[in-house]
Amino acid sequence: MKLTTKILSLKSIKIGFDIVFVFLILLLSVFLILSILDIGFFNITKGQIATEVNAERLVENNSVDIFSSIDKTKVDSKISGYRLNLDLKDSNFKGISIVYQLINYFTLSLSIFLIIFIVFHIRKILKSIIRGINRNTNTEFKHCIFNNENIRRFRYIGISFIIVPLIDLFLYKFQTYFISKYLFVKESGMELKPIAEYSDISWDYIYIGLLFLSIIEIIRKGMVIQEENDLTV
Amino acid sequence: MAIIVNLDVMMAKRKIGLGELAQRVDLTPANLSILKTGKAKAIRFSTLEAICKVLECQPGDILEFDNSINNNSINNK
Repeated sequence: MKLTTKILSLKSIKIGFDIVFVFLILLLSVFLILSILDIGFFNITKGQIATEVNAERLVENNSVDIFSSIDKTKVDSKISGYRLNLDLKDSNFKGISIVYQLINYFTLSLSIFLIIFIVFHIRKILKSIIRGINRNTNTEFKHCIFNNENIRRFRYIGISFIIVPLIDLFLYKFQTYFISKYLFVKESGMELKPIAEYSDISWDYIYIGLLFLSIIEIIRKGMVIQEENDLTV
Repeated sequence: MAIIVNLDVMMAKRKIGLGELAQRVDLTPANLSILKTGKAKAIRFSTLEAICKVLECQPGDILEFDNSINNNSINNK
């Protein structure tokens, strides 16, 4: 490949990551604003929990009796599709459901933030690669690809990729625990599940994270070779 | 390193400055100063040949092996 084509293709990849970065930041800020407004002011979802029920029983009878474990009162529920929206108007419940919403919003925004963190460092690495290709001659400037900063960035990216599915797993466990502790269904054979599913968790990210962590060794070797090459006269 | 570069001695003898020598052996002044100050880790034969041709000397006039530094550097590595 000619040099200009190489640089152009790398720059276009970097522009792609720039677009993703800006989009994710917008997404996170909108999400944070909406969740703060929701919890603090508008109270749209205050006192409500969205759960799922098994599909087969839903077809037979359209109403599901759900009770709260705290005082055995019946909980208002609205069925829409496979989803069951529960309205916990009881005063015992209000504080608990706020905690539920808070933890939900917090973990979701943490996931988005981690992905922003990853894309940020990928952009920096791409920038250093582009700068390194531009320097054709053997100069004494710090080598832009094989340096300790890039090693640090690869390590951040790898660890963040491993953490993201763990956060989703925590959210799933928390929702399951919460729903099973405070709500139960009288009819047997039916169970309440949270909206987040076990299969929604992207476990593949762990492999990608490990891949990034192993690339670090290549860069270390590259640093050694680069230094030797630089000091060969 | 146990190999000592006596380039400045030879340059003084032949009265050639750093920039001029760099130009004549086809090296950058930066690279030549790396060699002169002893920071270089390796030298190509082509470079050594060019330097000896310009300074009209033998490699032994420029490179010298000092055994007394040898033991320390091996233990440290």
